[in-house]
Amino acid sequence: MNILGKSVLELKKLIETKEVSENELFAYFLRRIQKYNTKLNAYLSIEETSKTKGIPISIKDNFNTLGTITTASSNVLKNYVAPYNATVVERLLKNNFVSLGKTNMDAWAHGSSTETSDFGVSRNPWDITRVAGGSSGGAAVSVSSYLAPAAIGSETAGSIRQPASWCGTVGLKPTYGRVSRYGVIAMGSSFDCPGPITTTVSDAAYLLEILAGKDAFDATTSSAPVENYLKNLNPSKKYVVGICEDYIKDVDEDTKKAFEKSIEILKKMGHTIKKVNLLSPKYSIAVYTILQRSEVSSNLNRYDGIRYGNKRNAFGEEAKRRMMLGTYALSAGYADEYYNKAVKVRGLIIEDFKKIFNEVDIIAAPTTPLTALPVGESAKYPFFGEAMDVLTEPAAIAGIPAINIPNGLDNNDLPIGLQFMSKWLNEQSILNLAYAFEKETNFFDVIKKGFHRYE
Amino acid sequence: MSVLTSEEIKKLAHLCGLTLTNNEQDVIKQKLSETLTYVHILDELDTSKVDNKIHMSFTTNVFFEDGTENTRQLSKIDALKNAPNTRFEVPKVLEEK
Repeated sequence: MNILGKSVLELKKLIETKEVSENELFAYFLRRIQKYNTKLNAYLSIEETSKTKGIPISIKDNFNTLGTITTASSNVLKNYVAPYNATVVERLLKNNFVSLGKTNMDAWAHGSSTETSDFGVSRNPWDITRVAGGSSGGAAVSVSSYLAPAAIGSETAGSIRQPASWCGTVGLKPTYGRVSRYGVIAMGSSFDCPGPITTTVSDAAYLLEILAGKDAFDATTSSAPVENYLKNLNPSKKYVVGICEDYIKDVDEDTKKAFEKSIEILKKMGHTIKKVNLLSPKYSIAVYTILQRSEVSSNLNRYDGIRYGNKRNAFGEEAKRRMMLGTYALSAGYADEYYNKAVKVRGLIIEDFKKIFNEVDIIAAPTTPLTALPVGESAKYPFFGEAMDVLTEPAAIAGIPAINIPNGLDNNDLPIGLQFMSKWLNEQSILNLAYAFEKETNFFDVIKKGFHRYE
Repeated sequence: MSVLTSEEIKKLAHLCGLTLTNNEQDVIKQKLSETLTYVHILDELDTSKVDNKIHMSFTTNVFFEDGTENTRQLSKIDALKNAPNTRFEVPKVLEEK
């Protein structure tokens, strides 16, 4: 029985037909983690035995998991044992999933490489001298190298899509409010979205169905009914897909070529490609930097070292810097110039997307301006995280859903990502188009090549 | 360039409940100043007609019914488990007469 690379849905079927037992499956992944995790540093903590039975999955370490250490990759929470499960975790357990362990991330989700983690960087499985991306770096690594058949990550702006792009996996950021944030260690409360990182689009649809829905413990969750995203996956539906020059012109050569080739494929598949004029994503960097850091300064206030966690001098430099910028942007005399201005531009970005989604169903763009960087290179950029996420920030700012899918490898054999965005609560459309692209191209075998590197 | 003074950095650190080393103070002062200068790119956009009362969720007025069981309340033991010496210790606020 060759399990390598099997999707969650395939494994579910194997369990149902008793071709493989849940215990065997758990042991299989545990062996792989024991073999490769030291090299890749995907997992911070590993479940040595499965506490319950189910399909194994990895969980980013910013989700509270009852009875286990939850650190958000920070020394502040190095010894913090979660006294409750996040809603996402409850829903996974209820739907017969079992945790393999908690994955590494940028500390407090502050970053796009996992280099701000207090517990070491996560290595890109395609080239271990390079970063995995972040902040859900460990999660993306676990899926890319098949140390888990799927992962739960979270995205504030790019933190699912960017590491998914750099590691060559599927990564879905749902609409803000589609999935409960209860029990997720908060970064930017008006941005944070839990979401799945998977090897197939069907798995992403399946996990979204499980995770989505109103939660009494998170007042910002949407009451919109949870659709049958998996059953309704329709690869034949034709869409009007918008492309915007401002999202394409500054990306590197290989990313641009892969994008243009993907657009040609969509055309051949019968979709209509339309040029659209969106507000330049460069403004999103400033909006996101101010708003996110303002919310961070408030959210990280609760870590007083009195009720739980270590004292505030255990914060790393990145966290300190972000808190201070946020405090400044919110302070008397400066709030109008910075925070309020950023809120208003957020309003412009939202209106801009509303307008464009009257013309097109989906917007397609490269996910990142370049492919995975070498470890250490991020230090060259003053606000590296925000700069790397320039193409993912607009959707995060607006709260709309977006998905990353692999669309090739560059000249260094590193994965390139393609993203589809759509309007609020329209996950079905981007899942459909991604599914259609997957059936047409099999993502150029990127995902398959990825886990075969780790036989 | 919007340059922050060392005084402002000290004050900000105090507001955030953070202590910075001298090195951190210098590094953060420079990086914050760069960031604050950069974000002025937003001045290029006219926001005079935009309402700043934006909220990202679809809901308004989500209430908890008074008297309903609070199923997520932690027991005292669970709530204290992660505290140093399993107690919340804070400096005295009121002086004794």
